[in-house]
Amino acid sequence: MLSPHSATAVPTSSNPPPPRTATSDPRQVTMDTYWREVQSIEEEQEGVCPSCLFGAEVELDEAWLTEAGFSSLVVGSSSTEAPPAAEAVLATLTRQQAATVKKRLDNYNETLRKRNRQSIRDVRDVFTEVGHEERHTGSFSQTREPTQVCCDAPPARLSSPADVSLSLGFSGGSDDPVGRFHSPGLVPVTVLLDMGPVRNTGQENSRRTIFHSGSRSDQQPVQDVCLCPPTRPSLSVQALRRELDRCWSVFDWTEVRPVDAAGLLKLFIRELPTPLLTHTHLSTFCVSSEVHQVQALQLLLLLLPEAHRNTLKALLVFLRKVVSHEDHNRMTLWNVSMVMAPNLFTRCNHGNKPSVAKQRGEMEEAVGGAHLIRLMIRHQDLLWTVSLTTCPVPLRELCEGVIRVHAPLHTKVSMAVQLDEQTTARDVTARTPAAVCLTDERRLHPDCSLLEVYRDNPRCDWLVRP
Amino acid sequence: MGKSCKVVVCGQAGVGKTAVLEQLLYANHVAGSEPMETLEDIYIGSIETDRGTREQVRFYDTRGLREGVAFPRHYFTFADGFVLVYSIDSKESFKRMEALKKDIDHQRDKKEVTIIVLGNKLDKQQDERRVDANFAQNWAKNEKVRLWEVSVVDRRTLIEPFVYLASKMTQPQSKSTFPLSRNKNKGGGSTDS
Repeated sequence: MLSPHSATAVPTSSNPPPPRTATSDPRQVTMDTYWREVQSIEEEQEGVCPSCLFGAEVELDEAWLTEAGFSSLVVGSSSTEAPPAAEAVLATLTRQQAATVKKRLDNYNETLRKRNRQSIRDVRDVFTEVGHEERHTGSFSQTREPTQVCCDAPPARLSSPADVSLSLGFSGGSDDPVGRFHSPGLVPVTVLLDMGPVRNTGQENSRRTIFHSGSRSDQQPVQDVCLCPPTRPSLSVQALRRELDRCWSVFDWTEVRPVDAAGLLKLFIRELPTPLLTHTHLSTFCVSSEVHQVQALQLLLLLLPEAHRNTLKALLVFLRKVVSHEDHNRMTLWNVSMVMAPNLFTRCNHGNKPSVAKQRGEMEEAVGGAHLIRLMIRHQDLLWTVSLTTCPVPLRELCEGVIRVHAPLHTKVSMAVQLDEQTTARDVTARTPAAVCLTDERRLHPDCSLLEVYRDNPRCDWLVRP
Repeated sequence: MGKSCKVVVCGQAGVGKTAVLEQLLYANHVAGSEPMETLEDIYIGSIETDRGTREQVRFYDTRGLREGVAFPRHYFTFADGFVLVYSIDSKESFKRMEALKKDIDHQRDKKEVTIIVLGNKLDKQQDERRVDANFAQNWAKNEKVRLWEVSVVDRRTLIEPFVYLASKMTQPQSKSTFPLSRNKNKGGGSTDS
């Protein structure tokens, strides 16, 4: 019984490495950054939608229950008092009737619970500021009211035991679900999770989320000035994005936190209509990550559309700049690579059956992607200069401004022409007695500069027609 | 008409490969005109063989070889025939042609290729000649290839080599015609030189 949401969340929960073992192996520690980034992306993508996913189902059950005269069991949004115990209401019914109503009610509660579970993801909002304050003041006295974030559903939903334990997790063990958030330390939360009868998917998710928040707080200094997962994830970034979309020309970057700017940049890269490395070549990039050959990369980059190539170039220059301030921001080359990898190599296979092989595959993908980015950042100067010896013939022709002109109706059916600033259509036709056309039937004036046409249409076919 | 044969025309830069082809196919080449460097042009010619059939031949006019420039290997793999061109006023161009012949023998493996050699610029003054005609013919005999000295000024000198080339490449693979055509060609070669 996996909901759409929990299905997408499974890869996250199955992601190696388990945080607890992370400290033992340095390599795993470092890859942790990667998975954190992956998760923050997934969270951003899931964003707000899940609550509406369950909406329809809830309404159906609610309507049924109301119609059957059990509106008291239904938790309306306006209702302030907890519903009576279901057993008491159902006591008057026959066994069969009771079973039917119970089934509906269970389903209803289950759906509600699932919907509410969504809000657990927002726990990161709660802990964000906590992390800061832990560092600066060592006290949590000013922490926000958690209920605003994670207990936005009516209190009545706490009728289910699983709900109680989860909600308690964020209210520091207090029995009062709307009580203040006095001591939200990480330990009590995990302890509560361990003892609470929480269903497995939910448990996995929240465990991860919470640990996540925990590991964030000790890395706070790093993230203040780096590309790491944003401390206030989608909310501020999305707001910034709207702001930027609205008035990009007068956008005031001085007010933007580096973290949010980085988030914006990554969001921009991820949401490009076509991936920066293009659908066509993305898999090849992934494959070549095993080879790690600058030469292969050079050729591959030549195949990218020009806009993509330029953007990638700018991005790599920027990333190198970030790395150059490593002492300051603790963003090492490897860290930057790991953070950028999941943004550039969109993970496509979101299966919902975690298996050992799949985990290994994901791990390889992660390491490979990060290595590839590192290679590109490190050797970026080499990437844009292609030595002609590595170039296959057709590419060499393209590089040097050589066009191949076809004249199917002539004796001279084909000629390779080196273009320079002075080459005109007339020069070519002088070599064959006819006019030069493009395939799109554009007939060129005899004095037309071919180099200009070539620059505009580097891939066009050149034909000589009578 | 079957598939067209592919003939690669190669030799040192400036020996007149393009001139030979254009004079042969268009008959409009003006000797001494400003040479334009070729990258790779392809011509299709229709040649009447000595058996009276018309054969289509694709000529690949290649970039002239220079010091330190190797002849692109891929030409060796698809060519059915080669026209090796040198200029009789350049010993160096003859040596380069010799090297090309060696390369072809080396690269062609067991594939049957027809090779003809043209010593161009016969119209030059005798005191400009650097490659002796007899020396060249002896070399050709040893190498078992046909060699003609030609001039693009006189288009008739070009006809025979190319008719021979087209006939040889498209020659039916039956044994009975083989000795006959060889005898006939030998006669033609001796009168030419």
